[in-house]
Amino acid sequence: MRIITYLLSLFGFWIIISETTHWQHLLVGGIVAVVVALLNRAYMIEISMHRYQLKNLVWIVTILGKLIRDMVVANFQVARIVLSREMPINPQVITLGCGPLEIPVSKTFLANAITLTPGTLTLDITENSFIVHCLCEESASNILLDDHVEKFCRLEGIELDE
Amino acid sequence: MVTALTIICLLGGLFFFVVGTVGLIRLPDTFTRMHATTKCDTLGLGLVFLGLALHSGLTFSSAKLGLVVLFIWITNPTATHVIAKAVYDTQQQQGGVDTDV
Amino acid sequence: MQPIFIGTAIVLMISVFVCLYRAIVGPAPADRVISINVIGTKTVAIIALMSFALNEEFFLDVAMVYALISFIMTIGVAKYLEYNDID
Repeated sequence: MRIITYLLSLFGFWIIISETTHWQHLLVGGIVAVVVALLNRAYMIEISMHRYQLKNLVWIVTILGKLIRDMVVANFQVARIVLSREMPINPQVITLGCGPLEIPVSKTFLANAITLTPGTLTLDITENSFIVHCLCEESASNILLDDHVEKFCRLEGIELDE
Repeated sequence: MVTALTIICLLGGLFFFVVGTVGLIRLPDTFTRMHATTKCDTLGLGLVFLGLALHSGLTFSSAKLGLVVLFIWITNPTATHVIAKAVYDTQQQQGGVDTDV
Repeated sequence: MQPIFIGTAIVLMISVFVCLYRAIVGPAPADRVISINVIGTKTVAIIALMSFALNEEFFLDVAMVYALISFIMTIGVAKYLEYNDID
């Protein structure tokens, strides 16, 4: 299953790079994709995909929409801080729990999402918490983080008791 | 219409790139500089490439632009995180637990 | 459209030179790494803009490869900062 996903993404990459759908190019691309996928079989990352079920993948769209909105808000916040005369910043390092998340891929994407949300920057990921550097005050970022954790839990299919 | 949207997207991307540069110059220490650069660069590049894709229409060039944007959106926060972790670990090892840098 | 693309590219190039100030002066080595990372991202944008200004499609491939190499360079330098070694 994993090797088929890998092969299909390689084939799609070939089509985009070669800029044509002529059958000779497609044939060569298919052969190259199969050979590369077989040769790199040993190096594929072990992603336990059993938690990601198809009905949960709907939450990816929600996460992406929220991420883009957060990015725009964060950029305007940075612009306001940087372009003002006295730069009202109060940096501090805080630790935030990451809830019941288990899969490393989810944690990685959550860390990237934290970096792109307003006023926060992920410094380090430990076993079950993030070390986060805050630009202003921590109250606003905390609420945003809880929302993100909830959405990623839905993506993994974890039942929330709240 | 498409031309106007392209120009708006290019100008917006340019604005965020310039804001990131000003932040890189003005902010006082390493972590706060990272705040400015990683956010502004990610959205600025996205807006510039969105403008170029609107200009190009539904072609293979747009697909390539989308691929580059996807790649940059994944790697830019990761690279910032790696640098921040290196700086933070070095500070911890030197015994300086200065949490309010 | 062509003058707009070239004008955007010129403004980006000026901001690249402003970033070089931080790369040269920057007190900590990490500041220099950040500023080189920013310059890499801006270079990708400039290459894509020039590709549309000159109507050369294959410049986009160059932009893609440049993004990959810039990311690997940043990872390598960050590892060197942390461990004083690249192995």
